Amino acid sequence: MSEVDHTVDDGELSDAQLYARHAPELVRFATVLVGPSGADDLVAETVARVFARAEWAGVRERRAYLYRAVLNEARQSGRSGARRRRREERAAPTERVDAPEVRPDVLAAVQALEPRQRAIVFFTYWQDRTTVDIAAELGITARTVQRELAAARRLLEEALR
Amino acid sequence: MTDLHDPIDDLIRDAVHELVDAAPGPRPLPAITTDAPRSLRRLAVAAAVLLVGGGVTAAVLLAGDDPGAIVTEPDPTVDTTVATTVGTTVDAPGCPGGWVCVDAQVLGRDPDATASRIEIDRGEQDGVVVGLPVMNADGLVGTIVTTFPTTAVVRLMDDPDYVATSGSPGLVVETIRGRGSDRLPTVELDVGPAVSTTALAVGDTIASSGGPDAAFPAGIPIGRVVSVPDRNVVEIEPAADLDRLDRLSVVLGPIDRPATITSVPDDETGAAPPAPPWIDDGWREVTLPDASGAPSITTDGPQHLIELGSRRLIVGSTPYGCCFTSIDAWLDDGSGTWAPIQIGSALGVDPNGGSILGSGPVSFASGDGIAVAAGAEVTAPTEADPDPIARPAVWVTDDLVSWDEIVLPGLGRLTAVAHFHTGWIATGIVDEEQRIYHSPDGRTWTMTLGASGIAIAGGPDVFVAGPTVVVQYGDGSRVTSDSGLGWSEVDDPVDAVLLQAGRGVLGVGPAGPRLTIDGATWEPLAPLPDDLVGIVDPPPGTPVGAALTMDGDRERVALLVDRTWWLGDADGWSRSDLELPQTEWGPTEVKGMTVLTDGTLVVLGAVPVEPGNKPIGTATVWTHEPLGPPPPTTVVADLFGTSGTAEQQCTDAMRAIARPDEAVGTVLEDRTTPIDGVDTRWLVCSDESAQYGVAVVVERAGVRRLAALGLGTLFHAGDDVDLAVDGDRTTVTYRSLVNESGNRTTATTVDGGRTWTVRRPLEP
Repeated sequence: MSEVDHTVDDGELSDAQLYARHAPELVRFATVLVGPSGADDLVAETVARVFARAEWAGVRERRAYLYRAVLNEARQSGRSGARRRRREERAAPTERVDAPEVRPDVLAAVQALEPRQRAIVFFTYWQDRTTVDIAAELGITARTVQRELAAARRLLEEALR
Repeated sequence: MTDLHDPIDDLIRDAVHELVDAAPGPRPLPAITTDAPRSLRRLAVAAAVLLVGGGVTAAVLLAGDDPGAIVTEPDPTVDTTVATTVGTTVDAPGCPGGWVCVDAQVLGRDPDATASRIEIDRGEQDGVVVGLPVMNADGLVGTIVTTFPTTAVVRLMDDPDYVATSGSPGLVVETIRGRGSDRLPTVELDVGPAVSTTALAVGDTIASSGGPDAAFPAGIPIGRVVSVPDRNVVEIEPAADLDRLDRLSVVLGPIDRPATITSVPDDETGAAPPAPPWIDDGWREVTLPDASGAPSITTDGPQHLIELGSRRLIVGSTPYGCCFTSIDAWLDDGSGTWAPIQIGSALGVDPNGGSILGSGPVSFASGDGIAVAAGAEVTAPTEADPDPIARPAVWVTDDLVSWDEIVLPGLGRLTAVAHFHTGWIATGIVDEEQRIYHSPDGRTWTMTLGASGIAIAGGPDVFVAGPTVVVQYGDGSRVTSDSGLGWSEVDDPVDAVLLQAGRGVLGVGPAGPRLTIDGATWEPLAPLPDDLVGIVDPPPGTPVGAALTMDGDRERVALLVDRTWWLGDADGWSRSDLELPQTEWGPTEVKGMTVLTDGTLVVLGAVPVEPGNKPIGTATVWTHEPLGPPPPTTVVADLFGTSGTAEQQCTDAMRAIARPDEAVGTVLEDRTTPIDGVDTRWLVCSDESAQYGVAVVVERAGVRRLAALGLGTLFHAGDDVDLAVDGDRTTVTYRSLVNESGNRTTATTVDGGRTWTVRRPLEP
């Protein structure tokens, strides 16, 4: 992976440099969305597809675009992913395929949220970003961020206490 | 910045960090293929999906042994340049041969950046109806979502609410789904088991497959595949450049079935377009514009339609997360189009979110120039009060936009409200009692009956038929009243279920359905078809609504059960022609139905368009022109015999509003006034003991009615009573001793056969 000069604007980077700059955080993001297992694949495949799109050349907010693309991908793969997870759990109930260092109740609590709520939780509690900032990143209204965050907090509170 | 000092935030933060710490390192980026699109990738589907590439239209005809093989032939029925309308020839760009199109010009674009909609210069007068596909020479552009006489609104393929389905069930059904202008639309293929396919790949071009009943003709290019996230889902670059639209074609329908649809409202003869496949003759579908401010919010759909003069309001609530609610509302200010309005804060729901689930109105009624909503004002829990606190509340408006909130004493919630000839009746569960409230004006409320000790299983509901109001408690027991003030129990109710059906009440029980219009006589209806017996004991979630509608010159009961519309009377039941759509995310959730005063049939619902904890639905209204002349207006029935002295009439009146065995009426005023050339006699009554207030009996053109009531007040007889007549409005003013201060109270009666009510008390 190539070295990245962080003073350079995203728009001036090559695709490979852009990936090198954002991939670690995108994988963390994807981990909150889909769990540690498969987060790296999700990001790599999503970004590869984005780079292949004709419209990518015209995208200005490249970082936000990548986060949204990963979130969209997580949403779309959610249903088949959930089915796969259930199959895997049935097949190997004592051997979790997900990273063992995460407590199962934490994983379950986060996975009970809607993908968009998981994204908002990531930006709020990992990146410490404001509602307005998150709204801009995800292309939704601040009001939606607030209500989704409130709903997510409540669900997490119930699950984690 | 979110306040994160709450202990729960620390808990969540720790959990998120634990999860993030387990993140794997990034993977090297896979090689990105930049191959030129193949002009004709093979999707072998029997006469279903057409692939279009290199400008050549190819019908795909294979369901055979070799899924990679394909038979391509020029399709002689597809002519991509010439369009024919019935009677005239129009150069409609891209119009497929064999189909009727009308050309259209783009007038403008919706300024709402979250939406992707344009307006075109063709409308209802040109045969344009909701649901028709719109295209240009390059391919599909979008779908008509709103129509006006001379213009229409097109939702483009990249609008987040865009969903369109084409194809033949069992073979291939393709669903096109817009996802906002920053994301490419997707096409999802539902391929039947008998059809063999090969995988779609980047560069393939997808066209609509048509089908015998499809709204889309076959062969309209949809877009080019740019990614294949799933075997049956592809992301597409739309074939038409949606940012540069100019001349368009609206596809009205196939040439060989030009005039089968009658949904053009002005009954134009001649060319008429096909409706969406799930709607038969006469029904119009209107997708309500997004009202939530968040395009993908989970909506419970529109639930209530309130009429006030020429204005109409649709209200729905949107639950989100576990515990919160907001209100979606749309106003038709008389122009015939629905526009979203923000009235949540006026109806007890915080517009910025955070209102606890259950706050806000649950029931609406209108009459006498105002609308009244009933429900609860719920405050969120605090540390001091860990439980949400609900207070019974009503909201009153005279314009459907500004609502005044009135919180009633006690803790609890109102469950229903109805307009009645003496004012308003509301029911609720307050302070652990099932209660009935009466108001002459929607603003001043008096509890008229409190029933403690009754099992609280669902709240009481209220039904009105003519001069009779019936309240059904949660345990099925009922009380009835002709005034809203004095109540008597209904012995052994024979109906398992009551449904408000317009101005009548439908009862359904083991003995079969029956209907009352006047509240006294019940007319038996034909036994319900097997499909409908479920409404006797509806399974949870079964949508049921009832109304009265004219069907030709007969008045019949309309029922909506399980997304199907039925009409019935004493002679039988027939299934009508509205079958609401089912999408892959589930059936349309029907939230309400009604018949407007002009006779228009209305169904409210949400069409699921996206999965979620609850499917995300598009709020939709289906309307149908009146099936006959406008239904009769509500006329309060003649309460009293036509004979008898004034004293006897006053006794009848007082017994109607008070305890039947106790009141003895006295005549306070007996006056005859000409109104619109008709002598109108007024009897102002109280009772001997002056305990039960005042009643006004109106006799006009041989019909005597209980017209206006004072409430639970002591009454000074004699010259304190004034009658004033202004046009068709007659005002009775009298002195009340309700609070020993001698308030002057007015009771206004509006003649005209519809509205009889009492106005608010005057200030001292």
